[in-house]
Amino acid sequence: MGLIKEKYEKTMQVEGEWNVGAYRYKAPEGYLDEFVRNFKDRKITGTLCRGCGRVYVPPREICARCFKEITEKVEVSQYGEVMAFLVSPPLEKGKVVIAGIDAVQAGFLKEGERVILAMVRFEGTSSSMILPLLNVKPEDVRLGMRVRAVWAEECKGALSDLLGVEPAFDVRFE
Amino acid sequence: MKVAIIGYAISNLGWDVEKTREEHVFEVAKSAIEDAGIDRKDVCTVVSASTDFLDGRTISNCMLIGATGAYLKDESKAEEDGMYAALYAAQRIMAGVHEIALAVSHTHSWIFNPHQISHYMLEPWFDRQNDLLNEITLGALQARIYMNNYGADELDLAEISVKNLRNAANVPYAFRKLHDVTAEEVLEAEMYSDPLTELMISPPCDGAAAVVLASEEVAKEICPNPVWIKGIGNACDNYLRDRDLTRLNSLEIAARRAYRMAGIEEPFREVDVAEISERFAHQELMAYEALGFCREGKGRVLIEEGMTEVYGDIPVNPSGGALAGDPICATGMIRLIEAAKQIRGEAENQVEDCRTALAHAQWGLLAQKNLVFILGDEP
Repeated sequence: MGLIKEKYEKTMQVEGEWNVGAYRYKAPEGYLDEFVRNFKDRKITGTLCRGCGRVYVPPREICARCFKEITEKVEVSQYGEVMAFLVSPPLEKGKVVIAGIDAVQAGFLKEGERVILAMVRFEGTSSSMILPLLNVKPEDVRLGMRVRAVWAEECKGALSDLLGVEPAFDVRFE
Repeated sequence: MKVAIIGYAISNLGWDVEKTREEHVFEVAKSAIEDAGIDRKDVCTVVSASTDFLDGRTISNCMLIGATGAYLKDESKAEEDGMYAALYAAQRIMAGVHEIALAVSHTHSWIFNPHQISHYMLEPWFDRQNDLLNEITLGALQARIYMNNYGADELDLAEISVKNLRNAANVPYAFRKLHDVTAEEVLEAEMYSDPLTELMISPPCDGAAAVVLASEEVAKEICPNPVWIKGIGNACDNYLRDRDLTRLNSLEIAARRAYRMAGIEEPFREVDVAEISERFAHQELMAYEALGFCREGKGRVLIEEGMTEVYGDIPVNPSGGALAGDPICATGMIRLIEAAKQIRGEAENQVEDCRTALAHAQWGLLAQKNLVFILGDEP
């Protein structure tokens, strides 16, 4: 606690911090068991609602539309569609951490490069994920473009195994 | 049971104002009570609205009991926009429990960066693992989806900013007033996240607002020109990843509920003026469609044809909207007050023959929750 600045005649600036410390969020069961652990086998898992047939990725344990618990798990396609994208300012080392790894330090992005984040809807799912879009220049990105998941060379069953998505030009979508 | 707005107050919006939080709230609560022509002892219940994160303390209403006049009275706090405080106050009156209610809202954005907090609104397991996501970058994503789906372009977004910021030039309390801004200037302003430039994003600022609500009996007795609440609609959508971001579904449902309660069948013809909380320029276009002022995807036609200017067929945000100043929790309440001012004929950019006004507030990331009030000049 500390410094008191007399900035104005009428008010003072009292500096303080609100250090609430670390939280231990409880993730839904399907999130860890199926979703993240299946990354080891390069699989993307979602949950299927019995009520409306919607598939949620990452898994949701409750379907808001049906007000039902979701228990069924399904594997979803590695291919998806770009719903929206945005281009970040140039990267600095140690500044941008995505899924627990520093993109610059890990080497899959260079310092000063721009990250493209894409909102991706994997085939057959009803929710979207925001992932880095790799191996493409910002000016070549088109909305509705087909992409596929990019995996780390060695998958350990952690969130950082899914590096992002890249354009899938080999697939024709009709 | 009918409810009327009988008094209101808006503070000056500014950055780093020379006032404490308590002084700011005291100022508006006092002037709203004076404006209503009543005394603190007549107020039965007080609802305040602010967020603990932006106040930098939890249960932040505890320190405001003196300032809001809630000392030894029925009091609660909504961790939401001020218009929700007005909603809960109105519901208390409708229930017949209380006669006069005071709703107060405030935010001092200067004390802590509000965009840092928006990162904590994200789901912690997946989205929050990505440092690049916050309200502005997500807003840019939403703008991209909307523009791609309906063929709107950056110029349409810029025109929204131009309209609102020019309107704000006449409003004495507004924070960002640019009376001769052009679309080129908006497009050339600093790029925050493509396609959103600085002038397309609502500027967080310090401000407070208060309204006094009363039951039909009391309002008719003590107030010469009460503004009546004719319709209320409220709806909350899914988390942003699980919903269709191209449209504001929850706003559409909220608006439909409010129109039904107020007996409005053709909003474009029956609503005289609308005050909308748009955190980003594209959200105003999306709101035109959700509120039923035009068909889906045609929001840009309204702005291109100038229909939403003060002189247009359906003026939207004659006060400048949230783009002219965004005291986060007070933004929606200021829209409600501006709508009431239009009915009373006291607004700076007064719309002619204004008898039905619409006010809208949003809360949550990318307008997850939406609330619509319809105000009228007779019960």
